[in-house]
Amino acid sequence: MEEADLDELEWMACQQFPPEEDEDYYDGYEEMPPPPEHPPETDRIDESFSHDDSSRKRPWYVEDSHDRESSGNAVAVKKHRGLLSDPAGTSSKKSLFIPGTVLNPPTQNTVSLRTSPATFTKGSPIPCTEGQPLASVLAADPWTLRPPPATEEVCHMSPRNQEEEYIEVPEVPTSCKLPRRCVTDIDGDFIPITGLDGDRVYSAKVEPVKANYNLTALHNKDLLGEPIAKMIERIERESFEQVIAASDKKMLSADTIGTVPASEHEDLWVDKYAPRSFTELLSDEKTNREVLRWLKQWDPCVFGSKRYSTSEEVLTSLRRQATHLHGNVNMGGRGSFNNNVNKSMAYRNDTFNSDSTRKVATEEKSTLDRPEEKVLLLCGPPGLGKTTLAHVAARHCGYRVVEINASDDRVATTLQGKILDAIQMKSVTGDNRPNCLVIDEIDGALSGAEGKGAIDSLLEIINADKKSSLGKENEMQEGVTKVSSKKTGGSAVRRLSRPVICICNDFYAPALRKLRQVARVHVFVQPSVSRVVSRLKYICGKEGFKTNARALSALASHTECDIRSCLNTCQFLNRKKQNLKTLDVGSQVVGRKDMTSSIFDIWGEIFHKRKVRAGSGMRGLVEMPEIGNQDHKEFVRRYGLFSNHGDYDLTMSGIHENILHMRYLDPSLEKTVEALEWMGDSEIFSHHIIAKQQFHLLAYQPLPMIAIRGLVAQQERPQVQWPKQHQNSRTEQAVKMEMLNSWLGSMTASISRALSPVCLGLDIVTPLLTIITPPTIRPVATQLLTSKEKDEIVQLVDTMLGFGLSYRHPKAGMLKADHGIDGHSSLTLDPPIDTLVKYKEFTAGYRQLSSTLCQMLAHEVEIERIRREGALRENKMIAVNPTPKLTIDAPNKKDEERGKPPLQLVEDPLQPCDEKIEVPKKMCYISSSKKSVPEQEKPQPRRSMNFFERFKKSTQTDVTADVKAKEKLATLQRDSRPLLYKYHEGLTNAVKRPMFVRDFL
Amino acid sequence: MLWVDKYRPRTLDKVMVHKEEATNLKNLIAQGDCPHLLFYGPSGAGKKTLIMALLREMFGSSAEKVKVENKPWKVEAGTRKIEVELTTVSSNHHVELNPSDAGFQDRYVVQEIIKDMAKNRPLDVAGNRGFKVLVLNEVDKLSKEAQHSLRRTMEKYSAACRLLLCCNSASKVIEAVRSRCVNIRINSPSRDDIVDVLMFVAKKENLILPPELAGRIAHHSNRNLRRSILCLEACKAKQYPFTADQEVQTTDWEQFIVGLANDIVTEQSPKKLFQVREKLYELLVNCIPPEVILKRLLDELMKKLDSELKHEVCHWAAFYEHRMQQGQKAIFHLEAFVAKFMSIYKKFLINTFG
Repeated sequence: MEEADLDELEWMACQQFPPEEDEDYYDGYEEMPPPPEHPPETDRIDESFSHDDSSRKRPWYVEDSHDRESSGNAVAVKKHRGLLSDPAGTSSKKSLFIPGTVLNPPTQNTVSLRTSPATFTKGSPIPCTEGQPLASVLAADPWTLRPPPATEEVCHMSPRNQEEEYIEVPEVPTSCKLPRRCVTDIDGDFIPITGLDGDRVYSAKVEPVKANYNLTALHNKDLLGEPIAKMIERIERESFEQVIAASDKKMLSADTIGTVPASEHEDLWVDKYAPRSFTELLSDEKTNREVLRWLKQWDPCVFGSKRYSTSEEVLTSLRRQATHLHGNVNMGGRGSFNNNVNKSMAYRNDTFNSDSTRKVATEEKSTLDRPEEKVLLLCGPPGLGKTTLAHVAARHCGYRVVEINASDDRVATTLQGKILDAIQMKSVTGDNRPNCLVIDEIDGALSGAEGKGAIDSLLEIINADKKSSLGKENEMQEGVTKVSSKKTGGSAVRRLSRPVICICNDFYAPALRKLRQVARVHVFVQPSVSRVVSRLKYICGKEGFKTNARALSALASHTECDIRSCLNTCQFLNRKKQNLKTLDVGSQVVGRKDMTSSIFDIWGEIFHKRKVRAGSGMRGLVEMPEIGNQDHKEFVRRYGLFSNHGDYDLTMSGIHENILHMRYLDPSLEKTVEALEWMGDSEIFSHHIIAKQQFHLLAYQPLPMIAIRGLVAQQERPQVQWPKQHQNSRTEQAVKMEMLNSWLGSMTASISRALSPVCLGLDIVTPLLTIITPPTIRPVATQLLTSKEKDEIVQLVDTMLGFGLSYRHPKAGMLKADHGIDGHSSLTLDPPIDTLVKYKEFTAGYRQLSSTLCQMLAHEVEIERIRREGALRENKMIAVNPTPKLTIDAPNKKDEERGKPPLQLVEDPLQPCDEKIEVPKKMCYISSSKKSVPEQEKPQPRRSMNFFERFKKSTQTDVTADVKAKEKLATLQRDSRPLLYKYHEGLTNAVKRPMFVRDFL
Repeated sequence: MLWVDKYRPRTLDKVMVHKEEATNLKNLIAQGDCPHLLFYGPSGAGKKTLIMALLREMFGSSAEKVKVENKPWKVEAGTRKIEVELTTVSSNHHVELNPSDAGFQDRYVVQEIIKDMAKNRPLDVAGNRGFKVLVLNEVDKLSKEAQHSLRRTMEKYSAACRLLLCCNSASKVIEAVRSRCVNIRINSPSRDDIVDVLMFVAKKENLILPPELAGRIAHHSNRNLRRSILCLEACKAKQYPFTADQEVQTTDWEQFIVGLANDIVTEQSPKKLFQVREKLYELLVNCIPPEVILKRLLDELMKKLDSELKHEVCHWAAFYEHRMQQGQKAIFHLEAFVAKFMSIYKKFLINTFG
């Protein structure tokens, strides 16, 4: 995209790096040091002044008085202003500072400008002679030459705004109260000014300066575009630079220099030299830019909301937006700002080249909405500047940062409240910049159970907003006024109207899983060592800490470019009046970061043997002190690594699951055996630790891992898989065990009491499956079976019932569908004990019954079960109450039976037979009134005796259920009541009346 | 109803395989009282049958009227309340339960529930035995803590209750508990015993069972009576009338292990080991206890092994089984055994055949 390309160009130019060996060079400008002289925030001006005065009274450089003064307050700045008049080579170096790097508070700028307007004019024409790269960039400065959207995301407000301020402010007398709140107060041209705090004021333009300015702006070759603050700063830096240059030379030649007394109460260097502006950020430029771009996408939503109140405001905010988009909009749009929006747009389209038209259109559209992803998720190892980036970028875009970090209470409700506060509220302290919510360390404290709730609440806000966004958009397009009213109403819907930045270390933290899907994610990578080193050098130079480039780069690579730890180390050593030497880095003097690595790093460490680095360059130097006892060092390092991670169980299962895929030379599997033995040891050990609660023994857990590493580590990069197998099998086993237990529970007590779940699986299942699937049963109508076969079926049903088995459809809800597709094919055993003999590439010994048989059996089992229950109940009733009580259950049972109406119809011929067989049994139940163990009676002679009789009866049955029931009742002659029972599938027009189940059998 | 249950001897007189133990038991309770008993022996030997017959002997046929209950117990353990769900099989005179079902909370089961049961003397003492019988299954799976808490219960409430403990391995029952019981070892019935039983069942069922087939069934069932009767019934379901050379069905998991052993012997490599691991997982998933897998696998491997390796392999099998008992993740040790076997076998092959 063009846009992106432009950004690229711009940024490359801004952040170009010097070749590292050129010491002078880096000192000059390339490292983009922060301007520590200027207090960063507007609201802190007063304090910072006083603070600076008090805290930095002491000289920083003994040798040079200039430096002492340059130590960092505005007073000093003024004193040095005289230097501006000498446009020496040093100052030209300074010109390489990018406009916009420094976000100076307007008030301060005003002061400095007022005191020396002359210096400004003098200083301004300083050409950028020496710093070629920047000069060339400025020549092609997209801010001035390119269409507005090109700079949409980057550095939108600082350069020009400041410039304007610097220009306008001196011209208008202070008595005028130069900045106006309303544009209408100013006649003639005006210029909007946005303070850091989001304040917008307008000031009239005054000709002479404007001419001057226009010249510079339009021609653009002129470097007056540079803010005055830069120049001041440049001068200050010039002076201390000389010192640094001098001291650096010394430092490089010898490792030492004259001592610098450290101040008694100094800030942490980390804070003191924290990046104040966007361009000072050390983090990856691409990430920075992306973050900024994302934040800028909120502009229409956040800042655009103001403009809807009046047409004036519409105009001004639009203008302001334009200012955001391209710093120098004033040169083009100046004349047209009194017109309405469309005109202004049109004007802009005219002024800028034509391709801006498209941009403007899209931009206008985008004002209606926010970025696609409402949340930004920054992740990366500590110390790379994630938090700093979030803060700087948010401030850069004119937000007030509201931070929620791990120290805050972050349960769901609190977090939700805070988010809503941040979205809807404004600060009462007069800082009326919109809020930008930064949730720091979201992975750490939010990983618990309550943390999940917190993330859920965050997601809820995001998603709730998504749902309503469609409707909203329509509303928005309807009219400006309506939207303005909606703004108040919008809070009720809890629309996420402010950017939210989340920061985490571990991208794969389970708590973040959902958030990852909706957020825009930026993963931080380590900045290059040279970049860190140059910054460190700058700071060390400023602090008078003696070191050299090698030691610094060793330090940086040692800490994995964690600038925070580098700075802390340096400061620490500085206070101890020690110097950072290369040799120190590997030793105890410089603490190693206690960093937990991800589990994949651990596995990588175990399976992957890094190549022994040829001792080249800095690396070699770092490792030099370790040469003596390399093995020991490595051991200690690994021990630390493994024990820091801590999840030995997971680590071990990862090893176990992956070890067989590793390609280590092991012809007779000795290494494998040994590794497995180590694993076994570790496993026994951990079991012991947990069982005996001797957790201090955990200290020995990393050792097996180290041992295994020694066996299997290869130089080849391994592909480590997340271990699932063990867990999966555990869950499956638990499921099956549960199934066995419940199966055992569903058996008849007399059978189950002699069994245990384990022996069910071991001994019973296989024979049982064979027994209940005899090949002898023919899938024919029951009438056609011989009496022997019938006996067999009865026995089979009895067995199945005793073991609590039946055939079911896999899911009751699937019943209909199954019938629709192919009959009743999918009957399975319930409980599904056949899964117990399922093995891969193995067919179990039992044979599958045909579906018809299954159905028949299921039916028989069901009937038998109901009948037994009925008999049991009857027995009880007889025992309790001689008059047969009406059982409510009976119709329900009937319903259950009716559960498969088509089945019943199909099986109808079978039913009478079944009935025939069972009737005597039932009689038997009744007669042997208190026998609760049904297995005991099986009067075979009786059954056979009744056989023909029953057969005769069965012929009378009809196909339809009601007729059959009626006939049955009639033949049974037991019940005098007429049965009115009609069943239509899907309708319940059956006449309900109390009934015994046996009546239907 | 399966033959296993159908022909289970219901009284001590009818017991076929452990006649001596049965007579002893009968004499033991002849006086109307009995000490605590600990039945131990392998699965399928007849422990439960004996216990049930004993109960019947003590309380008459009403001891056979059992009901199964599955109810949650609330146990107060110090400050917290623990809910344990236990399945009990109980008659008027006795309660059977499996305290190890409660897992790591078995201690509370023993301390509270069993104690509670033991405390309450049966109310209807008139005419009945003045004590209650608690049958505890799988005592060897109880944790040591639970077993220790059992000691006191056994002594303190011995007036009101008798404990019948049942387990597979007495070595996992602590000494203290063992010494408080009369230990009754129920060993696996001999092959001849099994054949006798099978013939008896066949006779009752009016089947003609060739003795060869009965012998083969007994052989395949590994001296497990339950399995052999089931096997007989399965054979009958598959093919009747019997023939002497009829195929005897072994259980599926055994067949699977046979395949596994074949795999191991055919190829020894990490790749194969990985496949073996998957199969082992499958076995474990299907609730086959790892000790059984190891033992069975060893059996199968032994068949294919050169005699000079047998001793070594047995040694290692014992070694890894021991480790398995110490640990928790059986797969590690099973796999280690397989790897060890592969290593030994491969070295042997290389040495022998070059």
